[in-house]
Amino acid sequence: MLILYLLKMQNAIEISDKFARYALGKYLNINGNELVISKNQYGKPYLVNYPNVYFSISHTKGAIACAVSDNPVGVDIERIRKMDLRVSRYFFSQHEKDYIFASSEKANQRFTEVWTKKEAYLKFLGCGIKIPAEKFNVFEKINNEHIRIHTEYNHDYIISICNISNETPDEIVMIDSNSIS
Amino acid sequence: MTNKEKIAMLEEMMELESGTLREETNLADVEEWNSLAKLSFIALMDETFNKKVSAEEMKKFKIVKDIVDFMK
Repeated sequence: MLILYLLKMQNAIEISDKFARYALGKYLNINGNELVISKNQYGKPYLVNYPNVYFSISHTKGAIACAVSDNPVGVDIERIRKMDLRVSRYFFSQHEKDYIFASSEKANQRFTEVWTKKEAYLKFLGCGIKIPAEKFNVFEKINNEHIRIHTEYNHDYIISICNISNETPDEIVMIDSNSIS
Repeated sequence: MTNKEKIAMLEEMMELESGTLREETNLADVEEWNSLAKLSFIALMDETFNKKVSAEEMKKFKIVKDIVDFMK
């Protein structure tokens, strides 16, 4: 089961840990404050007492996302904004750049979409940014038989989730900031 | 380039209002300092300062002054 939890609020980063515990608590139907969270050598968080439950957190301006699954998972959320598109030449493969610049109207959106896919994939691998981002084509990964990168559009935000096989989020849960104490 | 100008450059890069960042600002508290901002910073360093910055070096940035000191 894969569930994506979303919270939109100003300065969401300040309650990142509380939000993760709240989301994990909801997923496991327990009090999230009792969970023991540690990090692997690359900084990827994991649940010490639930080795078969995986999660990934991402934040951007005004929003935070937490994907929880019984399979390894990586998530990235970004707000669509005007980008310096020259950045793409450093970090994107030719195929990805072709996709981004095929539409001048949607270039910012597509840039953000491709980047969230890349980040979600790298977070899924859980080994940090060890693979140069321009060295792999995220569209090839999408069609890989072993993994899937699912992308959600949510108003001004794009969220990509990378996990095993064809699992798409069973549920997207919007969290009310008042729920998190 | 003065530190004030460098901070203004960072604010523009992160779409922050002028005066938001100070040298002592903790980067962990700046939600705009995310992966996309880091991409932009790598490009900025290359194009403006002709300097490469690695992910490992960026991990060492704790406060705004750490970035400013790198912008040479």
